[in-house]
Amino acid sequence: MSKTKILIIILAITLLGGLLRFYKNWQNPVSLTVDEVSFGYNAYSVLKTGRDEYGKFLPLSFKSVGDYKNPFPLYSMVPSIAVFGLNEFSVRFPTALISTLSIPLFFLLFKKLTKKTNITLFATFLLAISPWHIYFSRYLSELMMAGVFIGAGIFFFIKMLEGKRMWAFVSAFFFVLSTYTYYAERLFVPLFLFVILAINLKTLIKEKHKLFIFVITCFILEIPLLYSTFFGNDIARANMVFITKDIEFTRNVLLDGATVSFSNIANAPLLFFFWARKYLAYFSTSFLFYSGLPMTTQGSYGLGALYLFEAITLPLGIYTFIKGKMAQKGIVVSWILLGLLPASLTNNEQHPGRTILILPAIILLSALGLYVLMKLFIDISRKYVRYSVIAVFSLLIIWDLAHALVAFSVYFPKERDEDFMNGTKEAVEYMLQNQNNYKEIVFDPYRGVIAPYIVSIPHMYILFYSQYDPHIYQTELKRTGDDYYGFGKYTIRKIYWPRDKNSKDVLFIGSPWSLNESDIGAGNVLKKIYLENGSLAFLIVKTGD
Amino acid sequence: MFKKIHERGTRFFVIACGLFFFGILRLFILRYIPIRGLYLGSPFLADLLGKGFLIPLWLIILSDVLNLVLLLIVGEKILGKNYGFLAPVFYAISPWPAYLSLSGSIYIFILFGVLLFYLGLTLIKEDQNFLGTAFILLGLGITVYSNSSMLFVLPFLLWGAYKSGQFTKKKSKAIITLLPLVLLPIIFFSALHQDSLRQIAAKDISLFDEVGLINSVNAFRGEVSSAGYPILGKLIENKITYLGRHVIFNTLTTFAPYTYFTQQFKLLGFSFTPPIFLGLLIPFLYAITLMFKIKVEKRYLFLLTLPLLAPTILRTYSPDLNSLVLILPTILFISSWGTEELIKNRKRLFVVIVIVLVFLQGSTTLFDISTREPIRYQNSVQPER
Repeated sequence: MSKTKILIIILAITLLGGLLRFYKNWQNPVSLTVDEVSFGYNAYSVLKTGRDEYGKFLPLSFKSVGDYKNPFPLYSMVPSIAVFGLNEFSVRFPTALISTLSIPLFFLLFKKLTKKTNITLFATFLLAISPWHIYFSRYLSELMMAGVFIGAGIFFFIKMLEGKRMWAFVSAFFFVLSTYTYYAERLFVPLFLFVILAINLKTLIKEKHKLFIFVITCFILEIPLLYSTFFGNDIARANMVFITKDIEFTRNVLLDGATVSFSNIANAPLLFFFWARKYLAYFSTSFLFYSGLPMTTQGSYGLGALYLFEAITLPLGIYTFIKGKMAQKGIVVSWILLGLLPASLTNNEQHPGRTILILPAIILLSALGLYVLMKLFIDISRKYVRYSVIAVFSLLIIWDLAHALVAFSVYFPKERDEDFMNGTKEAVEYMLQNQNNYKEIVFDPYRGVIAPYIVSIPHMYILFYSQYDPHIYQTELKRTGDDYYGFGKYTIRKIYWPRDKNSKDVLFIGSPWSLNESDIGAGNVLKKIYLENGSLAFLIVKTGD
Repeated sequence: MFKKIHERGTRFFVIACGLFFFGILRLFILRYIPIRGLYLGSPFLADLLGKGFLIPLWLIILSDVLNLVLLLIVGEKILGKNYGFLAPVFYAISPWPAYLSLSGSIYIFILFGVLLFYLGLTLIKEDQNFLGTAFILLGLGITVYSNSSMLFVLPFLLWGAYKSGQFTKKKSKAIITLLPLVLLPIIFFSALHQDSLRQIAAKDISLFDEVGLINSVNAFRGEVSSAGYPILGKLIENKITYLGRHVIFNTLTTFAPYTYFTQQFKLLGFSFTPPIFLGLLIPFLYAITLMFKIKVEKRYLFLLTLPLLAPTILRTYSPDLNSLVLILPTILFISSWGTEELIKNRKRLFVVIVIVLVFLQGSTTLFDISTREPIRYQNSVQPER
């Protein structure tokens, strides 16, 4: 295949990938998440003042509600907010852009690994249309960005092995950048580098200068992060999400509620085997092909991390990979095996985001399988059998793609919009239009259709959608207490209607759990805000004059 | 030391350790968890005739012990004298058959039938045609008379044995001639009691009756229709695509290592004990990798095993660890062969890891059975408030 032809194909695949990532990404996912508004407003604050919401000058770790955020996603948002303003698109733009640009990048990496154009093109195409990749590209996702940087790091690492020493700087830079982007990479990168350096030690010993440059660059660039991790607040996040906090482990394995007491030493093996279970669960069919992506309600067949047709191509690809020859096999294997480590050490059940860094490696195996399958189809001697088999497989792919399209455009907005805090923007916008009529505005942070178990951060939505002056916010006096937070005329606290109904000129925003319509009286309900599935999310209520 | 594992003294020591654990594991379960005979079931034939006959617990426990003996004989025939003993040792240290046999699962009895079938195949290959045929017929008889879905499995099992070269056309003649005689009574009674057959089949083959998932399919279709694409909704969400997905899901789940080597699916619905100890995953994966790389005669094991997955695939909720136990011998043979290759190829570190993991999980399991498993069992019977 000529170079021009390949270039045109890659351009077309990248455009398709870009379309799938950017198309109406400000509307779907339906609303900005808590993290997105938090990152967005802090980036806006940095843009206007050089400081975050707490007034800290260009910090390396951003304090947020309950944890600390990584610096890269936030700084990457500053230019897009400067260009497009503070809105949904500008917040989601960096992720979608990096994700789109990763398509040609991974083409180069796949080419380096397989040396075969056909397989490389299959892999690039599968990456462009991958539901796993698309899902995390359409909203702010630091884990997606970090995964791309890992890919870049590997690409330049192989280039370093093959060529000039300058690639050692570039490779080290991307590996380190990934650690500034997402937490999982802080565990993955050191282990991965150790393994791939060990695998290539023979080559590197012959060219010690490359090894030296690579290691020294990594170390120097990591110093601020190491300091922040060990002497700053970053460790808080690790403690929060560590596997020992897993509810399944404490409730069903350790039996916390039981009256029998067990020593910690006896618990250690149980923790190890529980971890092993979590680790291997990432190879589960349910995660890979059925409902790995959180796009539908639990217990139903939604969308897997991979397409269903990849249930055929992936095993075939693994088989071919083991049997055949490929450059840097060790890198691919350690990429997958170590890539699952951070996610398996955390307290969530199968987190598709925390494992997205291994997606390109999985896609590569799947593409390898697809290539072999195509060859098998072509080799079928009987014409009608060949065409029938190709037709059936094509139908499966078409069904898969149509199903994914429907999952993204129909099921996802309807079934998971509450997780994306849908309704908060509408409530805040109504409040901003009418706030002059009230002396105080109270927003209840607890919401949820089934029960009020979702704790939101409405003040960030107020700051974001009002484009509240960061200078004022950093310096003004905040009203804080155990169960409330306030600034200006806004108060974030739990609403207790029997008491609150007596207050004057106050606007209340809360879920039906705190604002029961039958207690309030129809005349005082100013607006009702519904979720996509028709459930009532918020009521906006005034008190008597 | 590992290279000499097949030497008499070492072999005796390993077998003794295995048997000791076999006994102690079962004693611990009996002592601490009140599951003795809890899930005793009636065989297919009894159900068909409407007789309330439960397979007695002693017979299932006897099958459990005999499975150990059969695994030793078959293991030595498949893997050779030097390493064949590993399969029964791995069986002895696996909690899966221990939990199932003591709770009275009929599948331990069916597993005995499957192992007789395997023994028959290996004997036929050694030209011991009479004995081989007898064991094959006895084994198939036990499986088919005990479980209705094995009737569907039977032709595939024979086809698999034939395709894998376990017996030639000439040797299979006797089996093909005699098998109808063995099956005649069950076919006769099935024809006679068609209503019972339908009820039993619906119980054993419940794949098509799942209401919850069909409801979610309908809900999905409704959502697509209300979004303005009713035809697309019908094409994407319908009974055919749902059942297709469900069958593929059930099938793929049975191939996932975590089903067997971790506690992903709870044994008897409550346990945190894995069906097989995690350490054995290492030789298992090593053997699979070798099978991919080089042409190994033992690949036929897969061909023989695939039909045995049918009973679990045909269930609504897969994997059903009860019926899935039928493929335990295959996993154990593969793990044994993997261990043999690890030792032969001097992968000492891996062998040490296997031993450490098995020892660690073995002792943890015994401790857990005596402390937490009874509470887990109670919680499953009487959910926590």
